[in-house]
Amino acid sequence: MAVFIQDTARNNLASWTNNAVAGGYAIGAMISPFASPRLSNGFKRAAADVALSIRENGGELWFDSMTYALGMPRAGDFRHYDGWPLWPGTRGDLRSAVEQREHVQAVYAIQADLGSPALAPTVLVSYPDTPTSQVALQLTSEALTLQPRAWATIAGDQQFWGAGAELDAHVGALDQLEPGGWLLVVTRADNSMPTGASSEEIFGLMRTTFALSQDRPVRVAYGDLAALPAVAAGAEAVGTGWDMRQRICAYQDFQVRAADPGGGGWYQRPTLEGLLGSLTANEYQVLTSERAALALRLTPGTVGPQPEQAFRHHAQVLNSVIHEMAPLGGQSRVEVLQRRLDQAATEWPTVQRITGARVGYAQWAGQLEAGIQQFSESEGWT
Amino acid sequence: MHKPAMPTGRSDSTREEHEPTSALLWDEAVGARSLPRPRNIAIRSIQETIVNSVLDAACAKFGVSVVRALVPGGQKQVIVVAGSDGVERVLKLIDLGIATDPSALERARREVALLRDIDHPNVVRLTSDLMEISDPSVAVAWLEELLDGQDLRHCGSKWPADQLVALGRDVAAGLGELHRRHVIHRDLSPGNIQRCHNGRFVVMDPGFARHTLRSGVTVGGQPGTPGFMTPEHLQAYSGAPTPASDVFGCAALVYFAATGQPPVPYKGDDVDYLRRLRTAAHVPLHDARPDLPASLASVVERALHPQPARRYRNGAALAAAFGAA
Repeated sequence: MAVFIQDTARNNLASWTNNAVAGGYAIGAMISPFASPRLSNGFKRAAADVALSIRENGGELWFDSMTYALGMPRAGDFRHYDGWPLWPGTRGDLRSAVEQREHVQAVYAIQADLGSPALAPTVLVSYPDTPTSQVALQLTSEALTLQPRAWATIAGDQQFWGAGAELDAHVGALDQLEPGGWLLVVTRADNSMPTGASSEEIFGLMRTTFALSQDRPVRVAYGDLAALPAVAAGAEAVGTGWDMRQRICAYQDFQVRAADPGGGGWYQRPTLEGLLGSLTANEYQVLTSERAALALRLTPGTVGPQPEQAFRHHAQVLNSVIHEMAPLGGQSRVEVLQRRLDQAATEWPTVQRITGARVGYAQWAGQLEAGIQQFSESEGWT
Repeated sequence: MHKPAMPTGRSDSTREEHEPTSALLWDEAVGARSLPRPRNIAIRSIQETIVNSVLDAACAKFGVSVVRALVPGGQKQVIVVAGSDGVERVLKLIDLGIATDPSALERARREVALLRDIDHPNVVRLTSDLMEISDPSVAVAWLEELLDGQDLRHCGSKWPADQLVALGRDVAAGLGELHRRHVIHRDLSPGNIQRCHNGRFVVMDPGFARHTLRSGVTVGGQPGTPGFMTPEHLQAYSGAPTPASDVFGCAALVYFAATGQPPVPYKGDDVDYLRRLRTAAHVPLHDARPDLPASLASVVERALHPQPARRYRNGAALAAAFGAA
């Protein structure tokens, strides 16, 4: 299993995660203070209950403090967040080593209460050689001083991941801290799907993953399909979910917005393994009615009519692609994904012609392919 | 009391400081670079008088006499001295009176505090505490062991594989000891690696080392020697040099000994140098010296990787790799 479930605005994290773990298509879930209340609020269960349920059913349970989300433009949805004792002082105050240590201790205390592995907090970095990146390094260092086997988080926007030598140097400094593992996060200014991933970002994410995964596990939070190149470079798992906000870490999803206790409409689009992308429900219906055999070959499997069934299929697609790469390493691992992308590139035009889909290979995979190409060239594999 | 001899530039100088070639790259890092030049002989004479009086005071404090100068004048003097026991040592003297770099004292304290705790065959050994000259201090001084042999600038090139391995293993082992104490050298160059007569290599002059458990005074403009910097020397914040940078520096020295050129040579153009340094673009060692064992070239190339996280993590890991090469 190579998929973990990001927290959700809905009240089904425990039940669907438990189903996914039992069904063999997820390893567990990540609780976020932005999505889960510490205490039950009538709609959602207390986080401790959710955590206990997932752990008792054999799933991994992580608590990501998501301190990096505080650095997002207009971050302001603190309805659940402020119920967590994450800040002995002012929220977001990391000015000195004292405040940093206190925040780390608070995060660790919550993780211990929930039965989560230790996962160090970090700040969002937009350029990897700035006073902010220095805070990220200091905070991580403080966290690993307190818990040497904790996992470290690296969170950056697209500019960060595309920064070249500065990114490499920043990651090199973090690597000296030798955490237990790595959680990588790409934050985005746009919460639409497919993601607006750039080739430079993919190249940087692959370079970083390839380096860090030599002797530590690497996972990509909110990674979904866009993180498959990172898996090709050595990551072991990606974060995803049934809603878009579980598949993308976008600024809009952390802004103040009107309460929507139901979680909004479902993002129930079939993900086709042969396309490495999704179609709308209508497009998929046209494809299955017009070219059933092609639909079956590209899907493959069954996309059920219910949201949980659609998610299960989506997660199975991710698992299938990742499992094909997992036993391999280096060039051969990357070539698996390249072959799949090459195949998808040949399928998309036909699918678009049949379904009238406006979004195709270029949007879903074009930049991924370009980033993989840059990475392969940098390794001398082309 | 003997007076220091004029500099000779001879190859047997064990503490001959490397003269930087680029003011742009060096200005922030080395106060001596920005010292006002004496404008006439009269001024120079006054300065020499002051320097000599401070040197006399330092020698008196340690009970030693001057044998010869290795690096006379300027902010930092390096003098061979002899004590009443006849043993020759190296006196390092930082004259605060003419130093324009306000952090000189702090640098000296850090260097001495670092070296005092280290007893390793591949790191130069300190034989005294830091002594402050006069009250208030006009200078600080300390003693180090005098190493025989030559530094790498005078050891030729095209070394055979076994000598390259010995160089890499010894320097990496010395760095490993520094790294174990959370210290980064940050300024490895041929001028501060000594090849002793018995074949041992010794790391010298971690004078710009930043003790990572203390507040550093060299954060910002990274100290380094053009031609022997690392990609991280271009970073001022989180990406600044780490032990993996010393790993790069050690490999650069091995490359230099193997080929006569550093992997990313400085050719007189700062912009061009910094551009090439960013990516550590270089001719692979197995291309420059195809006669060397592939295992040795592989160790050097990994240590020269532009991504610090792709290199050996520290000196100890690099020493082990050279040992197995």
